[in-house]
Amino acid sequence: MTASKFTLPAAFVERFAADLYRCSSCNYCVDAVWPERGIAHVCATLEHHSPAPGYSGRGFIDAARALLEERPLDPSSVADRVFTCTGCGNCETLCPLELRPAAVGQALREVFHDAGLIPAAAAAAQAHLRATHTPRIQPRDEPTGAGDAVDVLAGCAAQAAHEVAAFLDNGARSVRLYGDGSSCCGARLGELGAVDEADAWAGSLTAPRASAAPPLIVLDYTCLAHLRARGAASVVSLPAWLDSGLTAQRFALHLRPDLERPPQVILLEACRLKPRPAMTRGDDERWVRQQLTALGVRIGNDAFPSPHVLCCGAAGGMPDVAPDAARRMACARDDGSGEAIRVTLDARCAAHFAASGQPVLSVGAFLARYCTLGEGAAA
Amino acid sequence: MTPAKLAAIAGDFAALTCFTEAVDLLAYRRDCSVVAPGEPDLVVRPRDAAEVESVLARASRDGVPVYVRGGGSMYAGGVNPHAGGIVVDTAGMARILDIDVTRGIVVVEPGVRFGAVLEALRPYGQTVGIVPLTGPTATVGGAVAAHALGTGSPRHQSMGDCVAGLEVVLADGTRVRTGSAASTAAGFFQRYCIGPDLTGLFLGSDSVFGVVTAVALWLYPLPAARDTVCLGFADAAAAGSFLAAVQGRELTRNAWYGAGYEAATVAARVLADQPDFARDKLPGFCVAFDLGAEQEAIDTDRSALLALAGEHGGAEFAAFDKAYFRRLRYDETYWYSFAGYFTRSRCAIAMSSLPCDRLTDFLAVVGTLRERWPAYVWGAAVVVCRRGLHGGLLVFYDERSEWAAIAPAVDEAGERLVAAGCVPYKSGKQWATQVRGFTAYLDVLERIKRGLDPQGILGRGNLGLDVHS
Repeated sequence: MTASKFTLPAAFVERFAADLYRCSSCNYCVDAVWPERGIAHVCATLEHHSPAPGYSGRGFIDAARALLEERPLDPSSVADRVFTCTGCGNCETLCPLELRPAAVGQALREVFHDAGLIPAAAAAAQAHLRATHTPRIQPRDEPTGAGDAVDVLAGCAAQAAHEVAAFLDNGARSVRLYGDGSSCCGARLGELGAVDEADAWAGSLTAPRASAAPPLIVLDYTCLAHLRARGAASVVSLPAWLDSGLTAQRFALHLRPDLERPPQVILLEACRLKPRPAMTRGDDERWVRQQLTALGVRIGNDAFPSPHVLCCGAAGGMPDVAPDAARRMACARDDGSGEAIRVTLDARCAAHFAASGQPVLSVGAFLARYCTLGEGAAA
Repeated sequence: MTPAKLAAIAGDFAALTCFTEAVDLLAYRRDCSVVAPGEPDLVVRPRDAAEVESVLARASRDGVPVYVRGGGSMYAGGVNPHAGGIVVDTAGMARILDIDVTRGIVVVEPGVRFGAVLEALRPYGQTVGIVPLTGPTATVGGAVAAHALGTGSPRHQSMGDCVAGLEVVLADGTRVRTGSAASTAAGFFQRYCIGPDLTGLFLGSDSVFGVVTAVALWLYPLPAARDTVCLGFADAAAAGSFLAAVQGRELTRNAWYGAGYEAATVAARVLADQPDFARDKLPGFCVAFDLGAEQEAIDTDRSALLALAGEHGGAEFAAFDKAYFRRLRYDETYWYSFAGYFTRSRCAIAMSSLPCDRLTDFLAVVGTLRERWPAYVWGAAVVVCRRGLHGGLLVFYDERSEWAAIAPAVDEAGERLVAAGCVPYKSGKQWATQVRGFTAYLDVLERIKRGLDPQGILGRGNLGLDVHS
């Protein structure tokens, strides 16, 4: 491949100059072993796709700086690397200098998209999304019940959304399934570099919703963050919505009475829930653990193993761009939990695990299958 | 390297993990230092010593330069491939080969990170003697090649003191084991056997004499208890004489870590924690120890240190312990303490060795540099060793605009430190100019180099050596 001159946009340079020139090359974002903090590896892509350091957070910073300094570099090879990233953010949470290598990589995706340099697999994934999905949706079902109203967004987590909607709908709530499997908020387009289009899709999805619309439960945390970042009002995670209702005693949560014994679960944390801007924080994870414990569910792992555990490969466009690596990432999360049910908060991760042959339930699916929602004291 | 030659070599390494694309070679241009980056032609990740042998034998055939890289977290430029050529990345050699608690030895491949070693030894209640402050990413091989310091320095001074033996591949592909392991039937259990200390030849050598393919480290028991103590002194002179006395009485025996901090650092940390702290109560110099042993031994040594400090005009200074040191050590943010120096921009670090009675001279150099180069921010800290100190001089600069301009300041820093009686530590390329001034010493190194690596393919430019055909 011949190197060609490629100019980074001024806006990119202005946004990331500090990151590019403060990186000390310490390699914490490439590979680190830090047992006290539960870190055995850092980058799922390096572990399961390619060990070439160009695929790491530091690789993105080095490449961006090299492009900025007009060093001979093939932009298509850089594009290949920045598009083979799950966006898990381990590199950022580990960086001692609080630099933003993952954000640099994501921003480079946007730059290469605008320059028409995205890898073929990413372009094909974008085209497929445009052809099969739309942000223009209407509620498919009429609300049932006359009480506590809530909408549940289908889309990436359509099957889980169906289960959650059915679980929430016991007559005491007005539950609507919002959209279907073809609905899309645009988050996946944004992951693939089409940021402006992703923003437009988010607007199209939420614009028809009246200011008095009920809360919209979003089961995929990437989508949740995407909608929130674009100013969507009243979008909420399932744990957060349940927490508000339980606290106000509008309903009560119970284990199904027909269970022979309380289930045992292993909780798998979701990368999307690392404490980063525009992402929901660890409150949902803590709530799930506390709530399940209060229900009598036996949780097999004392705490989430680590905020730095390797990504399952569900996000960042990984299943589209590097499906084999994405599958290996999911299979690598098999922690030998035996009979325990593996549960994760993010419905998209759960769907990816399932597609990779790994039985993992989203928390919504778990609640739908093992719990009931009854009347609360305030009802 | 010509494209044809590169293609031929890459073809010969087809069975190995190699990186040739420019975007992947970027990571191998430099380490954490301010030394100019190099331009590698090819990166290889051998999986074992046999593959290292084949790489070096092939490189020797064509006189291709070879540099060896572990975690890349050093700051003297030893891994920067100034002569191009091949970079041997030890990440592919990351196995723990043997743990023998009876013999008190752990044998590891060079690419093993310290975090992995510590984790493997924890079930045995053991640890290793020196753990660099960048433990999560630093490799054992890199620490051996570059005289690592860190946790353990007060008891062992340097990484080299903790090495029982090595396996090394020479430039021509010959493999050798040092220490007792020179006898295949014996294995690693002692360092000084048979004759001269061949292990020492390769320690701190920045891979100019050979490529380390296995390291045998001594094991030490994990401490039963730990505690920190910080002592404040009116000035560095008092602190220096105190430290000499500490070492003379072997009160470093239970010190996991020890460091000295100048007034500016102490003030910044204490006042950030307690803005109302009386400035006239701030010491001119602070010495801090992280003690690790049985509780009774800690209590005894703590009392002895306090008493000795009193004899040198010092006293306990708990405010610094609370504001900085205890948190640094107990929260294990010392892992970050190295990279944390870069919080402003980037910094160049010149690490030197000095006797305790030169502490004021060392700090005087820092003061002079502050006056002569006021555009940069200068800082200093010392690490307590079993004998003497390691003095770290740091200069913060803006990488984007001052990358070239900082070089003369760093060069001058090196000159002044040597003139003040400090000795380059972790030479790499950063101290090459000063090392060339040690003519008798360098002459011997060059003679050894010509014998072991007549083509000068290994670590070209490191240690001030310039031997190549």
